[in-house]
Formats: sequence, C-alpha cells, structure tokens
Amino acid sequence: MIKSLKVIGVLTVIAAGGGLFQLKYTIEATDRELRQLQTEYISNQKAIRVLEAEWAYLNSPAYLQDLSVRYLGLKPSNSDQVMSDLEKLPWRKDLSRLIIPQIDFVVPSPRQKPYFKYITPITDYPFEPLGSPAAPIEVISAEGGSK
Amino acid sequence: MKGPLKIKIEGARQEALEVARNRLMVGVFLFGAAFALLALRTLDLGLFQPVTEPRRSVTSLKALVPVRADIVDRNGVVLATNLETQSLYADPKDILEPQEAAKILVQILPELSDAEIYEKLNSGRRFVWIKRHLTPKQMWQVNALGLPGLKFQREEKRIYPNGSLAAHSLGYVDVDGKGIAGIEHFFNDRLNDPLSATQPLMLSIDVRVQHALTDELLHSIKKFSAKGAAGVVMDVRTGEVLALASLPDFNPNRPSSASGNKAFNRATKGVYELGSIFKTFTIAQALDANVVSLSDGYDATDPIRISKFTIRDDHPKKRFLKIPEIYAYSSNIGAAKMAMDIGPESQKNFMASLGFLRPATVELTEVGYPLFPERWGDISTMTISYGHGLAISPLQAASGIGAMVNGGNLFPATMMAQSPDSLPIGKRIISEGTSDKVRQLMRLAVRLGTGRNADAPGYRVGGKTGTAEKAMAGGYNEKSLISSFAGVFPMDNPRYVILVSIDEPKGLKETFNYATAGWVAAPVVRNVVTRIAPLMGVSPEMEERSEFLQAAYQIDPE
Repeated sequence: MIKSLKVIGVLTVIAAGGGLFQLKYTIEATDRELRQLQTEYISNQKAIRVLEAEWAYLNSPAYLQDLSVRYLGLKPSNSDQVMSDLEKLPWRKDLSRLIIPQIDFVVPSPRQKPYFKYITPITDYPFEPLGSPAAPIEVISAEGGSK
Repeated sequence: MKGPLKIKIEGARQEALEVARNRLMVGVFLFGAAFALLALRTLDLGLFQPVTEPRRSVTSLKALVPVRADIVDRNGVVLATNLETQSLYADPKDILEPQEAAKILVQILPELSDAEIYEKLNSGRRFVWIKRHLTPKQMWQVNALGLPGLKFQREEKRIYPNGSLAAHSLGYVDVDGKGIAGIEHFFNDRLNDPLSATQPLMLSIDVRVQHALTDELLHSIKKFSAKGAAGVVMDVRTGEVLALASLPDFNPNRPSSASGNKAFNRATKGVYELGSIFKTFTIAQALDANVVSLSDGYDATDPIRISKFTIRDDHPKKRFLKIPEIYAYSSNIGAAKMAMDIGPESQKNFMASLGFLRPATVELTEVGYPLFPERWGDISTMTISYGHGLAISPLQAASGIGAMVNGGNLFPATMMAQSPDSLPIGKRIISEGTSDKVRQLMRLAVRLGTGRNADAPGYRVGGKTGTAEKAMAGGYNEKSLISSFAGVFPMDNPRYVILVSIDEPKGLKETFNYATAGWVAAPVVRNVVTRIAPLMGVSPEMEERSEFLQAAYQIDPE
C-alpha cells in the first residue's frame, strides 16, 4: 500500500515536472509566435499605408486622364450619351412586352449609335406602329468614335 | 509464518539505532514536505494559476500611429498621408576619412555637393544631417558602403499622391512636418494631435471635380495665354467646396516649388472686382425690396455722366430695357440706375449681409480682405452695382451666388465634408420667391444673353458673365481684363455653383479678338458642367420651358 502510494507520488512528481516544462516551452513558443505576428502586423500595416498612397497616386485623375488619352480612344461623354431613364431609349419597340427594370442611376450610351443592318428593310422606321412583329435585326458594328 | 523477516536487536545497540532512525525520519520528513510543496506548487502553476503575460507591453504598436493624420477627400481618397522614410545623419567624430566619404556619398546623393558634405563631416560636431528623407534605394546604397559614423534616423514624410491637385486647399508642410499653408496650416494642431492621428481629416473636396476644374482652367489659360486663373465649385445647399483651384499652382511634395506667384491662392486670398456678376446681387436686392418687378425697366439710351465718370454699356442697345434685358444684355446703365433706387446705405447693408465686407470664414489661413470704398457714396453705389469698386475673393462670390439661387439662404463656404444628417442652417438673405426669379434670370442670360457659351446641353446651366478691367495706378486698364463667369446647374433645382475667373486672357482670332467673359470663362463652365454633372448624379433632361419663360417673356431679342 505504502509502496504503491510512493510509486504514484513519484510518477505524479515526474508528470507534474514534465508538464511544467512542457507548458513553459509551449508558452515560450506561443510568445515567439505572438511577437512574430506583431512584427508582421506592423510591417503589413506599414505596407498598407504605402499601398494606399500608391493606390491614390495610380488613381489620381490626372494620371488616369493621361493614360486614357494615350491608350484609349475615349472622349469626355456628352449629355446626349447619358440616359436617366430606360424608357427614353431611342428606337425602342413594343414596350408592353418588356419588363423595364427600375433604375436610379445614369446609364452611359455609346457616342455613335449602333449601325443596324435590316434583313427585311422597313421603310417607315423608326415610327413603326407598336405591337407589330419586330423585324429580325443584326448588329454589324457598334464602334465608338467622334460624332 | 510468511512475511518479512523481523529482526529484533536487543540492548543498547538497538536503542542507538532507534535514535538514528528517528533522526533520519525527521530529515526524510522535511525533505518529503519540501518535495510535496514543490509538487503542489507545480500542479498549482500548471493547472490553476492563470497564464499571465506580465512582460513587454506592446510599445512597438505605437509605431503604427502616424505622426500626422491623413487628409482625405469627401469619398475617402487619400490627399495627404505620412510615409516612413529614413534620414541620413553622421557623427563626424567616427568618420575616418571625410574627404573620401564625401566623394562616395555624392555619387549616391548627386543633389548634394562634394564640398558641402566634406564641410559637414569635418565640422567636429557630434551630429550633422546629411540628407533628410532618402529613397529606399539610396538608403540601401549608403548602408552598403559600410562606412562607420553614418547613421539612419527613422522619420515620416508627408506625401501628396495627387501631386499639385488641390495644392492650394491642402497647403504643404515643412521638413519637420509642420503645416505651412492651407488646410495643413489651419488644422496643424488637429492633424498633429496623437489622440486623433488615426482619424483622417475629411475635406469637402472631390478629387474628380477638382481635376475637371483644374484641367479646364489650365486649358483655358493655355488657349488664351492668360496669366492665371481661379475657380470654385460649391454645393449651394451646404456651402461645401467641392473644388478650389488657383493657377499657376505648385506641387506640395516639393515645398520649394511654392514660391511667389504660385503660392498665392487666387480663389481665397486674391480679391478682384468681378464685374457684371454683381448685377445678380443688385437685381436680387431690387426685386426682394420691391424696388422693381420683372416687368419694370430703365432707360439705357444714353450713358450716365456723373462728375468725372461716364457709365457706358459694353453691349449698348440704346433703348429702354426691361429688368430681364438689363441682366441678359448686362447693361451697366440699367444696373446703376437700379442701384440708385435702392440707395447706398441699403446696398452696403446687403453686401455686408452677404459677407462681402469682411474676409471669408473658410477653414484656410489664406483669406483676402475685401476692398471697398470708405465713403460709400452715389458713385460707389453705381459702380458697385455692376461689380466695380468692391473687390471680393472668388470664393465669396460663389457663396453669394449660391445664396441667390438656393432659395435665398447664405451658407458660409466650408472645406470640411458635412454629414448629411446635420446639414448647416443658412442665413436668409432674400425670399424664396426672389430666388426663383433670379434663377430664371440666370438661365435666361445663358439661353439668350451674354452667357450663351456656357450652355451645356441638357444640364440647364444658368449664369452671369463678368468682365472687369484691372485697376491700375490712375484708373483702369482696358487691355488687361479679368473674365469671370458664375454658373449654376441644374437651374430647375440648383445643386452646384461654379465660379471661374481668368486673369488677363488675350483675345484670339476664333473669338474675334474678344477676351471677355462670354468668350473665355463661359466655355470653361460649360466644359466643367459636362464633365462633373454625370459624376454628381445630375442627369440631362429636357427643360421645362416655364422655368425661364416668365423672365424671357419680358425680353425683346431683336
């Protein structure tokens, strides 16, 4: 009885000691990790500041305008290219068959209106009576460019 | 009998052993108790004690709080921020060969001179700055030299990612990060306050609008070989300044570029006689005080001669003009006569209520004092009615025009973004009805009058031209003009006022050698409106003709 108690006692002491060291090392490792994460966090935050500044620089309107003028054929939009309402789209046919989404933003439209080739020519276009079957149309080009 | 063999030792030997054993047991007990204590403590530490983190508070996180708060525009775009840089300094005592070191350093830092560095390194002091704010590459190169005595100091540098855009609003800082001009100066304490350093300062500026305005003004300056220009875009409902431009401008990233003419803020510091734009105020006051109605008029057949002065019309019609005609054709004679009916005292009070007799109350240090006559007599009243004799900054004029069209309330100009929940309350200047009439007149002046070049199709622009001759020593110079235009859009529900002023434009063949506001400033406003209206959510619409018809009814286009 006493002997088994002793054995249990010794084992407990060994286990407790081992556990303590284990705990200590775990804590030290966690602490190192914490420090590392903090360092990483700080350098990331610093990088974010730099990137934010760079983002603002790369998005500055003057820079974008320069790039646009150099590489794109875009021009400032005219008021006739902006639609406030889909109902006002020109050449719109049977409106009753369409579900018109409610929008509260302006929709840019191309500077040059798309050029349509009519397979069956319609003479009284665009004042075709509403409700007549829509003629099949084929979009040939919708190129931008100056007016 | 089984079990351990029991030996009994008799006599004195036994007694001595007994004593020794008892004594030994004391030691065993003490050691046992000590070990038990350790074991218990171990268990206690392992199982019950909370794991605390007593050491090392997170001081390094403080490095994250910028020394100076960022400045952002109304949409959160960074206008000014602080970035970490390294500055190079030297401890000359540790420098072994100053001559040699200076020679090598100049190769890396070509903007410094050999002799200059040598002098610093040879000075015998313990601390000399070699160069502040090195680029990362330069820092690496200097570090790679491995010269003893050269050290780096972590510093922060103010960066303006948009370059010269909105330079006059932002201002700039000196090498130690102290605000020298503009917002940086006005809010220096707020920006440097560690408590609010993480909270960016949000301005009312919109970079997109600012760019559109600056770009168009630059274009105009180039086209008309002008000396400079100023422009303001303001929200008429809040007084928020969306764009404020003064050209020529500077790059706040290089404070040395902010010198003389370039550093001068024409939009707030400069005061100018803005010419016929003032007729808006004259007519608004006359209508509001019931001195005249829209159907009244004045005879503008002959110039007015008063003491040495003659008041003429720039676009003479030589006939009786109704009030809308006086406005649309910009008749000085009509305005002068109207002002006489209003009276000097009353006119002065009206100008004072618009804030034209004291500097603008905007959040900038660079505000100019208006110039006005000490003795506000009849002649002053007449000339001020069409914008000569009272010089105000373009920003003040924009606020004033805003008050004329927004329903009659004056909102002081502000550079700070206003929260939509707590909009400022304006000061009533004229009645809503008068404001309606002024709106019609301004739309009329663009549709049929001198401001036709400002009409951006679909955006219902209204406005007034103002061409003023520059005051020179001993009178006015006919050749050097300040051409201004005050535009408002959309006229059926005014949202924004745009005021542009171009300094000394030269006429061109295509403008028939005219450098007047209708040819120079009005197109700028048209272009700016066309560019910013889609951004600000103003959609082009067909005009309700009744908007200006009441005024147009009175006009005889001949």
